[in-house]
Amino acid sequence: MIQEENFEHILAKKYMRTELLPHAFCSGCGIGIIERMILMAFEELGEEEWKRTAFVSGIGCSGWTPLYFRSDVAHTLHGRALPFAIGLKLAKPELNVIVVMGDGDSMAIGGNHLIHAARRNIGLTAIIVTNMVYSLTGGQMAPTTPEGAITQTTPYGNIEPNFDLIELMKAAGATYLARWTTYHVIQAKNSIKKAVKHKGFSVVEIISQCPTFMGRYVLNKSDPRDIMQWFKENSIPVSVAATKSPEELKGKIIVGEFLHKPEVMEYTERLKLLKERVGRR
Amino acid sequence: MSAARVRQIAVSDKLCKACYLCIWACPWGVLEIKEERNWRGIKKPYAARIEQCRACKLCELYCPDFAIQVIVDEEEERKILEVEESYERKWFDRLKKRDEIISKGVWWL
Repeated sequence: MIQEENFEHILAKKYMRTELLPHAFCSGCGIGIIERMILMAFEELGEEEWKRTAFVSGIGCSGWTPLYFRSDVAHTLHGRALPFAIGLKLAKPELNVIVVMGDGDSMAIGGNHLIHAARRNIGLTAIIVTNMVYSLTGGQMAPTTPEGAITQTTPYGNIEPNFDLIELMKAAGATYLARWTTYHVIQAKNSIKKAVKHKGFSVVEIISQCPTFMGRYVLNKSDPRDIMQWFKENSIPVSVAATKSPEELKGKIIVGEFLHKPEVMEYTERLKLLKERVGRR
Repeated sequence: MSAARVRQIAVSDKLCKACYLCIWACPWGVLEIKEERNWRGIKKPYAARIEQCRACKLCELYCPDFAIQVIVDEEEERKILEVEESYERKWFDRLKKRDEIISKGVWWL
């Protein structure tokens, strides 16, 4: 029998800084499940890939996600995780650079960096943790908050329509797009695996629960089990959603793999070609 | 339908934060909440009906804190102890080496 006093899961023992555990997230937070998705993906990709991987993260609860990994991590400014990651990728094109950002980090303050990274099609993997409010600072309205939700800064209901990240990224020119919730662990793991192997700019949006603020303000239920049940009942796969009318899809989460274009040329390859063309001989 | 023989469902005292997502995820009703609190003041779940466990490992999948693991047989138990030896030891040796270098007065490492 194994002692339960200081027990840790085998994935945590292999890939995480166990002296920092238990981590700082609230009870039932979805970021722990997202950490598990990333680690499971790398368990299948192998140790070689893990050694060639560097993580970059911004500010917010989601910015703490890679800090628990035994890997190279840069914890950067608010909204500026992508510029740091682009610099890292340009300096060492052979690295897998994974950027973990929250919705405020990527869509609100860092929105411009996101669309221009997608336009350049640079080989980063952006894992975007969406929880529909600014949770670190106490539940203020975010660009992803659904219309009508009561938050701390919108006490009479949100009057703004919310962002659809997938449509935005499609228009900006990203070449791999997927969206899952924390309920779909295996599917999200497969998507992350594909995104790491994919050469261009890939975005995996994961809708995560925040029982403390998103549960309280947006969904009116603060038990993580209830929020998981809500994800289970309200998510629709892309193929099924294509057959339904917009009225039926209101308030639902469309999940699945939206786009995969491996043939578009990546930015560092273009840069290499340019160097060959105009470089000194 | 007969269930698989499961040796142990280990729930960590150190890591469990009592969100009970494992109980929500379990389709067979294996886990239940313990009455007494542990040293961190948490009523952690325990395997009340371990003979019902089919080792589907959904509780592991949905645990955000890496606190629960289904240990099917001795083979798996051996693997866990092996990982502890090889990975943990290596990491702590590296930390120790770094501390030694810092104590010599090299501040940038």
